[in-house]
Amino acid sequence: MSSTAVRWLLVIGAAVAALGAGVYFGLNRTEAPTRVAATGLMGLALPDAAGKEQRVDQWRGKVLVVNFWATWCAPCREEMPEFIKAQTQYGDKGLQFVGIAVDQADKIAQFEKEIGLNYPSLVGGFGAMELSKGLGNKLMALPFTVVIDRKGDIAHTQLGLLKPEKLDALVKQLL
Amino acid sequence: MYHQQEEIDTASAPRGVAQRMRHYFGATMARSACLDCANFRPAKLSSSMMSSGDNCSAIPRRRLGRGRTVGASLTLAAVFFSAHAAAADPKLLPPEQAFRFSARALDERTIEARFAVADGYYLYRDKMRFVVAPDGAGLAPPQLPAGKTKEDQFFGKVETYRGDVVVKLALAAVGPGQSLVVSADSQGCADQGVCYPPTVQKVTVVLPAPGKGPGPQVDANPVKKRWFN
Repeated sequence: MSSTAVRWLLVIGAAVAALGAGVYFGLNRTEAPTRVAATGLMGLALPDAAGKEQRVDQWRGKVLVVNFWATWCAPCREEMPEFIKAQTQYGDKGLQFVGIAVDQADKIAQFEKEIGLNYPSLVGGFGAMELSKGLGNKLMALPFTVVIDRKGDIAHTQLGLLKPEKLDALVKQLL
Repeated sequence: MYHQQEEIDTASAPRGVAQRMRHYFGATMARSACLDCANFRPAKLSSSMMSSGDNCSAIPRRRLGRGRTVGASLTLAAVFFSAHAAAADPKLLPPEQAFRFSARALDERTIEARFAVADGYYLYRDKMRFVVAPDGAGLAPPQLPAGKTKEDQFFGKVETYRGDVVVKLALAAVGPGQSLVVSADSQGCADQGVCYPPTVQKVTVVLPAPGKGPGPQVDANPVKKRWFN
């Protein structure tokens, strides 16, 4: 290979590296963590499984864990006993779980009874999927969980299982 | 409080470096990163552009003398990006790619419907439905292949499909040259522990003249061709 070619390669290499670094840091600057208010979610009013309308902002000031789930979603069912435990453990300290089910009211009610759910689950239907998309669930898959701090800002979003240790750490940090 | 996200969390995915890079530069960037590769082979671009960077760094480099420096710096750049891409990329496919639906006309009265289920994903047999429009086409209730039976801790005995699922749709009242819309309902999950809501995918299939089948395979959501596909 001629020295001219080598020099060109060096130049191209340097350019690519510089471009890459620039793009990387540039993108990251715009991606700096920001406070994200859960305004859309807080303003929501949906019926619970018994048909009673529930406004999400009734829980403002609490550490709110909003869990999008469905009875047809096995991983959703898998993690709910942990949520029940956490609700029992931290409920009086200001932790509030709220389910939003992408499902039918009768199926939700039946499952609530079956599992002994100790927090409300609202009937979201498939509109709930769109809502979760706006909160970052781009693939609209389940389970999807949003943790909101006492000020109403989103502290954490999770697609897939929210591991008990992660949940515990978040709750302790936010309560 | 800052907005934290877990690895599997897709919320960060579209903002991930790898995806943005791919968005802005397409495959060009990947090829540039391979300049120093000896026998330049188009590294297969899978879900992430960065995988090509990894493949690239594994390919032996030409003896370049001073060019080695270039190679090293580019390899470093590739490693740098791939390290960050790994954290940002949730490696979850959208449902229409995890469960790719296609169909073709086998003959003037039969359509062959196919789901290509990606590795690490599965479909529930009892959630699979097919509808052919117009209604008058006379679709006989299709015979779904047996799935793999498992004892689910929540749903009891369920049958699931992995890999390719092929279903024949027999039509009683159709004619050659007729255009039909095949809608397929499916619902499935990823082994990573997420499930997708029921999804409908549609393809339009034109029936061939007698003895002229099978027709072309029609993809419901064709994957965009890239340089390295």
